[in-house]
Amino acid sequence: MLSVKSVYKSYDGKKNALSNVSLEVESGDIFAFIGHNGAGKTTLIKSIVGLQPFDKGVIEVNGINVLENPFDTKRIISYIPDEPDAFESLSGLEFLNFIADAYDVSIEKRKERIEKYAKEFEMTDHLNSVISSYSHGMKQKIVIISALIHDAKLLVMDEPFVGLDPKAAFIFKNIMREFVSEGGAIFFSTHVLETAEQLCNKIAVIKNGEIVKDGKMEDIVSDESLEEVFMELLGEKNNA
Amino acid sequence: MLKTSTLVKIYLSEMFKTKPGKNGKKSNVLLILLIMYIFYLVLMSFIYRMSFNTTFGENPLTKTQEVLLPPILTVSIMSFFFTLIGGNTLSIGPKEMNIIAPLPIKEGQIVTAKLIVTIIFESVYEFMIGFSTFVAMLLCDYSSLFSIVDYLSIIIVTFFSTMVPITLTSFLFLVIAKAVKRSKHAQKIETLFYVLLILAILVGSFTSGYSGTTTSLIPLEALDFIPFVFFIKKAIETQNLIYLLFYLASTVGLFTIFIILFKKFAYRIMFFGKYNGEIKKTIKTPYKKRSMLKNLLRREFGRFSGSNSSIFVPNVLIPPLIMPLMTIIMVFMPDVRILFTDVSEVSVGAIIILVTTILSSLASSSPAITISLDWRLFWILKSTPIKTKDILLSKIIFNLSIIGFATIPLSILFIILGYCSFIDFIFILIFICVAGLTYTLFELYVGLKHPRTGVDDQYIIKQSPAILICLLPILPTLIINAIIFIIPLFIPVLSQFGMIPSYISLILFTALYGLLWLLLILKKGEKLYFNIS
Repeated sequence: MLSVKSVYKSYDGKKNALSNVSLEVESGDIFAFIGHNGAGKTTLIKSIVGLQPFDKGVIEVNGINVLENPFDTKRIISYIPDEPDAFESLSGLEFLNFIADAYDVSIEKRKERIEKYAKEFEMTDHLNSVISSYSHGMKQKIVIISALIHDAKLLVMDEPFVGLDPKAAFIFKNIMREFVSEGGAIFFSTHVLETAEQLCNKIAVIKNGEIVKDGKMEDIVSDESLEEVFMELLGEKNNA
Repeated sequence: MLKTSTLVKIYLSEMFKTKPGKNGKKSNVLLILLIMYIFYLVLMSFIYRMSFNTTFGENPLTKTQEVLLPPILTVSIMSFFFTLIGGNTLSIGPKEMNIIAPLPIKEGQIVTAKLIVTIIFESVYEFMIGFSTFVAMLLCDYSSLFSIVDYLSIIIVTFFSTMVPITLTSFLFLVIAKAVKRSKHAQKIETLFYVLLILAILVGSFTSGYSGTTTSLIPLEALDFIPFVFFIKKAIETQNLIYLLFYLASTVGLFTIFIILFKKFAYRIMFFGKYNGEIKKTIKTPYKKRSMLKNLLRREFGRFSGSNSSIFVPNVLIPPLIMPLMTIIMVFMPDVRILFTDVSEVSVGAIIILVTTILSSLASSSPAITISLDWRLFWILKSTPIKTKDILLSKIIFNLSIIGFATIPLSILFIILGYCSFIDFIFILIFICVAGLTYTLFELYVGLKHPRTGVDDQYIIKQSPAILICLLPILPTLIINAIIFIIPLFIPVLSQFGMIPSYISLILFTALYGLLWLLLILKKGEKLYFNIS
């Protein structure tokens, strides 16, 4: 579903923010992308969803090159950013209508999905309020609903659990499982290692722009916890 | 303890920060701006020098005050105008809210730093006129006529003229903020107030300029009514240095008193919000499908009702509002109308072309501003299948509708009042459309090339290099347009057709200029937009 091959990206022409990054996400995968602050997680995510260019390498979504056919890849991707900024002057429903228009979702389908997810996230009563009056968590919920409004095949998320209350986080994890069970794939970054360990079947660890470990969760985490593995990986590199 | 000067430096660097060039190299935008600025200084010095020589040459008994007062008054009015159009000088963005507010910095330091930065920035325009006048005084053939007081007056006005307007604007901002504190529509009232105030100043200076014996656009009599400029006028008239000291004392004094008296109140308003409580607005929205272009256009127009619009709205609206305002003034002010009945058809056409060029250029900055204002929402605009061409097109249509609203009524009125023929009207209308589109394309390209992302403060975005780049070509464009308009009138083969060849050549030139920007946007626009982060 998502194929990243030898991707390089530099912001200043000297230091690589991404260096020879390669990974594969298949249908049915919930793929966790972890790393320290400034490791390159957001850079790769932004490159996948078409928010910024990269210098070298290939990124394909469902076999479509994101640089050559950005419009076609965007039609099958849903993205949730690390900061849930939305059009503040619009109401929640106006914003969701805007996103549904972007993906050309029919009236019936958008109505059904908005009502379903708004109910699950307890947002029904707030849909007609302007987004500027929302709390951070409510903004996060409206952005999550907007990502689920169309028939995406790949869900790309940057720290999606930040700002969600425990109940909303629980509901969202179930939605994620449901999403992949229907043939979708999820690729997301997180600092919450327990969540990654509990939820994901695949994982990649990035450090200073390079993938230092990737593969199936059970292969990487055998006897140790993910936290211990992560600390070891950082330690190994530090000692080297 | 953090020094006020450090805060000023931080604010200034935020304001003049430019996007890094290729491979992280330092951008040369500021250097280009500086070169263009120097070009303007030289050009204006030359124009002033020529005007001084002509004035004294025609009448050697002309008093120096007669040639000095217009530039001094221009500087003073510009200070008021630009400060007001700048809107809320004490505005802060969320970044400052989160970083500066928790720090142990005294209220007075923050308020002072904010105001000093505004003074420095607003002085950029005033310095242009003040410096040019000073150089012209030194280099003109009659430099010996100017006294020490004359030279000192122009220097002092150049560097201190912005202090009083900025103090008054800040005071007004606090008064309005206090008055509308409990209103549900506080933001809109504040924006409306600024727009009306700026228009009132414009109407005042425009109408009174024609009501007296003088026909200059800026009335000399108005000097007495502009606070503290009175002292400068007196200093030049009486050649008495004591008035200059009064000017300095009153200007700096007012600024200092404002900070001492209002620093705590200003700080509270800046950091703890102008409005009490959260505004819970609800909008009943049906499930409705719209085309993406329509959605994007709604968004562009929706900014007018958006939060924190007291800077964006006046900036976008003021230039286009000037034209309908002038139209109304012309209808109701016989003194003004008489000016147009006494001049030739060529002059009327030239005036319209001139005004249209200036106002279309001024009114075209919205694409450059809104590209930068969008930065927090790029994730929506770029990660969803929205065509970049639709995004850019919505900005062009939005801007053209504003220019059209501003310029078309005026040209229609000109034909109704008989100032120009129907044929002239058609050509003027075509020119308005072509010029509007051309300047919009130019400023859209500049906005794409030099966006100011990473800040939420609209004041910083409005003063960003992109906006300065958009403003600087106005004068050269005017000169080039004037030359292209006049040349056919002196070519016998063409002049027999009246003004038509002038209009055609100007329209063709402007269209070609627009085509250049269109081709650049078609070629690079999508990539430039994609690269903005």
